[in-house]
Amino acid sequence: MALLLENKQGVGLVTLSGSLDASNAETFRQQTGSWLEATPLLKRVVVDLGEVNFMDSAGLGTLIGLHKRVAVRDGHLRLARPRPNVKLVLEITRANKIFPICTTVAEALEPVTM
Amino acid sequence: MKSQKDRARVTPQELFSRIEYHLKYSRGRSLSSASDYDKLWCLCHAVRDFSVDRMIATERTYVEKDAKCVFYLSLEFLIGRLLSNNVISLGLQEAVAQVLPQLMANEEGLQALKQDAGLGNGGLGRLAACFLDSLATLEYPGYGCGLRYEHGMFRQDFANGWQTERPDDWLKFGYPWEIVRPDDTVPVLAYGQLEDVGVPGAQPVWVNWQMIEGVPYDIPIIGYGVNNVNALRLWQSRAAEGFRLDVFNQGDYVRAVEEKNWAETITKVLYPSENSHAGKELRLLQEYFLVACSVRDATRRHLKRHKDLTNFASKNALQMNDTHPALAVAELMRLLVDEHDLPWEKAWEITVPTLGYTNHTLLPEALERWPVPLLERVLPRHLSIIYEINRRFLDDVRSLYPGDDAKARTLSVIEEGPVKQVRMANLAIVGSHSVNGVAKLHSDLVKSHLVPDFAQFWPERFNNKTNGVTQRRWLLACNPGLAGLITEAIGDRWIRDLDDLRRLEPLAEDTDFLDRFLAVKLENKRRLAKVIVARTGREVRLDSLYDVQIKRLHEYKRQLLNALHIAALYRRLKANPKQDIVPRTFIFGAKAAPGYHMAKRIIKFINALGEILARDPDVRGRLDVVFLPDYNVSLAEVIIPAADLSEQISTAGKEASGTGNMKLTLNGALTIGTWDGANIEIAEAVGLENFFVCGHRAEEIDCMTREHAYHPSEWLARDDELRGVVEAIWRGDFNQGEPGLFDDIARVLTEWGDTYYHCADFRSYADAQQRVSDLFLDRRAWARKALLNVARIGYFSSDRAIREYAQEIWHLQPIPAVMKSAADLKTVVTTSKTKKSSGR
Repeated sequence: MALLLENKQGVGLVTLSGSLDASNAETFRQQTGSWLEATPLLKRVVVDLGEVNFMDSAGLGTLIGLHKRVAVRDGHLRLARPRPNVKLVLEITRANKIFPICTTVAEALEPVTM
Repeated sequence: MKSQKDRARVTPQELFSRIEYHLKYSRGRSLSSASDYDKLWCLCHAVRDFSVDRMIATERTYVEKDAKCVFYLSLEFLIGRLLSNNVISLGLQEAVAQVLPQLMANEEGLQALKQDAGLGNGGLGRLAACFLDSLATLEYPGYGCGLRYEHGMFRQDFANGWQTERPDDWLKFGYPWEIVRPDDTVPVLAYGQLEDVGVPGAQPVWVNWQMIEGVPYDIPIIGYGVNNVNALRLWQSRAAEGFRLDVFNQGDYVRAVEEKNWAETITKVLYPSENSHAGKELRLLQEYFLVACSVRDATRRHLKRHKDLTNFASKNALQMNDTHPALAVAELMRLLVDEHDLPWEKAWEITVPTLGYTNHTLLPEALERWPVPLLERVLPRHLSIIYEINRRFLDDVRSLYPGDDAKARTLSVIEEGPVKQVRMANLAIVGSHSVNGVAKLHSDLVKSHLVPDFAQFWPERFNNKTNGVTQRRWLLACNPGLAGLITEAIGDRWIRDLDDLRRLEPLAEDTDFLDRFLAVKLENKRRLAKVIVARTGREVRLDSLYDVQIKRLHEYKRQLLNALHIAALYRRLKANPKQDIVPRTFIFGAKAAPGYHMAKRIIKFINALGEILARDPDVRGRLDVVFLPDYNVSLAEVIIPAADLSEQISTAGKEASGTGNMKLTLNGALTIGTWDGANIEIAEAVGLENFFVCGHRAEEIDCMTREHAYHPSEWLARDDELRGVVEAIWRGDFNQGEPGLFDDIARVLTEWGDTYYHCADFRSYADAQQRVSDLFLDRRAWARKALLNVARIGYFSSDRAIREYAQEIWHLQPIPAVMKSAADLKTVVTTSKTKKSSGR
């Protein structure tokens, strides 16, 4: 798994590639955790899954964990560009009901409209 | 459909070229270096090649016409061997016959190498296979959905008369008929929990699951004399990428691989038929895996043609073959609600009209129940859906029967108790628009005895679809002698319209024809006798009456009643060795579930009888007992054409239908049978005067049971012969020096209450057997009745059954495959000159 953490004009962008699974879930959790601690004002996070080719339940667990940490600061998490197999997992588990899923990163980065 | 004339004949040269091609490029062999197995494999591949264009055209036609399709969900498909049937369906018989010498192979040699695809236990699985044949032949869009078990039905041997089991390795050398479709692999999630992640309004998320993948393998199902080639799609499980990587990363490589292997065990082995698989986690996973793969597949196909699933029910039917796939109710609901965001009510409006349920058993102990804690652990989301289905259903029940808690308890999908259970039959009934039994009596008993409260609640859901068998396999392919005689007499229309056999009736008065009919039977008996010698070393007389009982071994099917009668005949002969009797060869074929001890003891008992009779000079050659090991479809195809007498003697009210009864009648056997299952309809069709009815009726059995009025000792007391047999068992006359060996059999018949009413039915059965013997002495009179049986069995074709399912449950239309290119047409020759136009 390769992980890139960026701040895009006040929105945190997490770009992943490879698989998000039990082999790297802890790494993902630690790195995103440190990053959030270092950016306490960050309320909106987008995870770009466009290059993620596989996600297991541990991987999903890390996304749920990230969502909870962002929610604590009244922020929210969006997912962008999941591949069909990853999107299907999100649908089967109903995780798609807690993460808004966008078809492009640009769309995901747009402000939240209430 | 293109007429027969439009099809070009496949020449032997073309077939041979294909075989050579496969020998060289698929097997890397020349003709001279190829083994017999190479040749068989390439012959199968070459035959399959000739079906591929039509398979593609069939799929294309169904898509272009946006045809409604049925998905037949079954944990079992007992398809047996495919080569002979596929050759016949494609009209390649002559080409194959001419090619075999060029291959330097003979049919018998190749036959011995063929492996049965034994993906089923018995009737239920074989019915599914017959239905696929009829679906394709009648040009209905239909797919079989099953599991690709690595090990099918166990192989049976006898060691000192006892059944022993060994694994079936039907895939050991590959399987030439299947086409793997890795692109259609689907994910299946299991285990885990539902977790509330704290988002207002959001439902709990399914977490900590394990992912398994389903890989489909398609086997072409070739319609006879038509262009349609449907598919049987068998799913194989494999570990998904990343399976148990957490364990792997903890450094426990071996455990990680073990767990990976575990995912693959889901389709490792077919469960032998036992009364209940309750609590067996792997069996639950198998059922769920089939359902998850098949429902995903059906919806995916639909979404290729439609923007959403709102019209799913108008374009798809899912038939559940018994309760094994009953989780389809919850899975389809989950998919519609969770993945496609449909409101619950709308999803339910789609689910119920889509699903149909076929009940196959009246034995209460065989009705599936799954412990709630197990479901909660394996399928947490599905359990929550089942609870919601049940809650809404019970609201309806309570509004119809206010204050009637007992009614609600009976109908509930959840059975209360120390450990709550999910009643799969109740789930299937609640979630289906149609519930059918498989013979008239059975369907009536489903309504009156099995689930009367449901029948009262939803009378319109319940219906009957009497089973049927395909005449393409069970006459045309397995009995070429009789098939040829019939075709010579009345033409070959019967191959697609079994009712046409009715035209044989006048020939029952034609002595020349009857003699030819008997000659065919004799030839078939000669063929079976060779198999008996090869498999058991036992020589049997061709002029003896071949008395056949072939079916799963279960006490309700009463192989023991047959054995008691054999023992009685033996004792008669010992008492009076000069007695003139009709020589009989009693032929058994049956597998007992490995954990079913009494069934295995009955096998031992029959084998012991056989040994004793074979050793005794007073009876040898007059009474013979042969138990053929490893009974399967291919063996049935040799036994059935040779049978004189068909034993269908289940305890009345216990056998749902039976299909062996139909196959044996179709092949000119007379039936000795109880008033049970489809026996009743067969007897009515062929005429009671042409059928040996015996035993108590279901209502009489039911009455004795309800009033606790059955005491086997009373029946023993009034029947000296039966009592003598039971006393001989107690005495150890059949034990071969092993004291007490068959005491439990005697106990079953006496102290343990004779649950299956052997003693009550013995005299009636023995008397009917005497009538059988009397008739057999008059060969032409026998032949006349047997021919009338053949002539009047047309109703019991699976074509008729499938038409009924298609018209009354699935609402399907025949969709003839449209062949577009010249190459498409170069695929088939058929022997059929006529085609039925009715029923369209």
